[in-house]
Amino acid sequence: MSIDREALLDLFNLIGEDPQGLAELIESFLEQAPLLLDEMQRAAESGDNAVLCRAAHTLKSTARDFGAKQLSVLCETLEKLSRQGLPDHAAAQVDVISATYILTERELGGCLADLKRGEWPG
Amino acid sequence: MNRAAPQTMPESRRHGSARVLIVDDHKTNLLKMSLAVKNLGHEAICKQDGPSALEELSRGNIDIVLLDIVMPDMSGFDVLQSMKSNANLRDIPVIVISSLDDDVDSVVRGIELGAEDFLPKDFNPVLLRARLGAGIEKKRLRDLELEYLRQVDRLTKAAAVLEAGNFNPSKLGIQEVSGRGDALGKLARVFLSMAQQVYERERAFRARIATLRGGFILLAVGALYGLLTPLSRLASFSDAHPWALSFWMNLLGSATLIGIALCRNRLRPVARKDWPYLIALGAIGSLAEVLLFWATANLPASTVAMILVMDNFLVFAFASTTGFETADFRRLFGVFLGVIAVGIIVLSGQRVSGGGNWVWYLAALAVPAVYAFYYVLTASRLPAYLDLFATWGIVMAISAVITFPIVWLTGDFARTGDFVSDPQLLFVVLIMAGIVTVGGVLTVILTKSTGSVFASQCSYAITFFGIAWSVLLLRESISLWNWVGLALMVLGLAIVGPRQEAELEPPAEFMDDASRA
Repeated sequence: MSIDREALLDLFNLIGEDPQGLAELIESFLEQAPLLLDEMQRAAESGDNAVLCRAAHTLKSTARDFGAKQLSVLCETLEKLSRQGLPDHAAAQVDVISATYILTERELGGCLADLKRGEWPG
Repeated sequence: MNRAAPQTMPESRRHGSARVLIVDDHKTNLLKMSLAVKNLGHEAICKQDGPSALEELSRGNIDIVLLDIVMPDMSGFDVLQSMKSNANLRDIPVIVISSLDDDVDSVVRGIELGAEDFLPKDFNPVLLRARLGAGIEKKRLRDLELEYLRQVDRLTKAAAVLEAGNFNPSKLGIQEVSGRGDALGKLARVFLSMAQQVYERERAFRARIATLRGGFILLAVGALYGLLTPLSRLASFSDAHPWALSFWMNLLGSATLIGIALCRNRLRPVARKDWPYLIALGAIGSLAEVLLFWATANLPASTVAMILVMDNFLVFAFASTTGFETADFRRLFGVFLGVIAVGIIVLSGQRVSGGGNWVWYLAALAVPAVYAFYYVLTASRLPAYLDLFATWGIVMAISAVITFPIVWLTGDFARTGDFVSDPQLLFVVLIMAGIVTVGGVLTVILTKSTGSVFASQCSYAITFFGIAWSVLLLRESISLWNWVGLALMVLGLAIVGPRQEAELEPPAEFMDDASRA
């Protein structure tokens, strides 16, 4: 389990326990995260550590909101490393984050389906 | 993003509900925060970058800002800085959003730049409600304070304006302040009522002074012009021709007045558009004089003098139909008394002389009609750039020019020698020229300061003095009915009264303030 459903429930609680709102939020995350990953990839390849740092920062905090702990921790590490300059093996690190995201995406997709069927969060 | 799109303007800001501007470059964060803010009952306006956030703020209806720090191009710090350097945005509270775990420095910097508070990225609803509530409450208090200060400022300015000039206090736009229920409102109400009393008192006082001054000038004009009637009759005894008399009077008068204007260095070129007006004045003036001479040559001077008062009715008819002055019942009644008085005088005169000579009566009646038109013309549009002496000198010169060909054609110049050989006639013409000159200037002053209806009251005075002079100089007798008529005329004069004084408007820049308020 790479998704902490408790965190998703906090989010659900924050927006006034609105299942439709939560579904929209998850859809937004699933739409935006790949864009951030692309941005990180390009920045790592071109050596732009500032863009890499900012994108990692954004993905870190949104991933945390959606209970994707592992993804968030990896992004946090990359954000800290890229703050001073381009870290070693930056592109490889972005690849690891992308692979982790595939798992996150699959699980969040499952949550979304449950939500839409009305089977979760109850 | 759809759900976070800018909302419609708030029709009513319910208590506790605020317009919250959320600024974050990341769509998912923006959506999360707008849903959270709406969940608390507020209105959410979302912007994805600094410039569009500042544009939204400049529209002036945002209560509080939730501001992300990390944004491309224009960071949250930049937005904060430009808000704090703008007097209109300075007081809008800003809550910076930051992940406190690794960004303590940016939170500190945000607070130093003037942010009200901070919110961690993974905030919970309780925290959001507490932070937003505190910021909104602070904004409300500040708004109340600013409104109070603004109204104090208005009151202070209004006091300064009232001290500088005599303006109607109800026009100073402080009614809004006086509608307050607190001490400031009470102060404004007391101030307003005191200022209004002072204003009304001063206004009444000035109106009395205008009446008094107008009355003096009116008597002077009456005494002068009243002399004209018996003098023209005296001149007619010497067989002087009316047109020649008018020509010489106007020539002498205009020479004197233009001479005065030249000495005072006040003679200005007349604008082309004003010539027709001045020519009309000159033509009407000489026509009135000639008619007067004709009438006095054939009727008792005192009777002509009495008929002259008819012009009151006519001036009032002219001025009220053209809208120069207001016609109310009281003033109409005053004029009505004057007309009755003339009727009594004419009818009693007819009875004594056994009727006849209606042509001369008609000529005499035409004189006030011409004068009435003359007064209204003078009051309506005297060129402001022309000196009084210059204006009157030019008008008299025009009269002389107009009468000149008539005098020439009738061969009256041949009798010019009569003026020199007849010392009495020469003396009479000189005095009449002086009267027309000084009287004309005084009439303009009177008409300008009191309005044409009041000025036309000088025909009462002219009549009164005309009768008095006729009795003194020509030994004419006055019947009891004539005295009754005179009494009625005096009453009419008192009832019509001078024109209402126009209210001064407060300075324009102050009124701009008031309309903005």
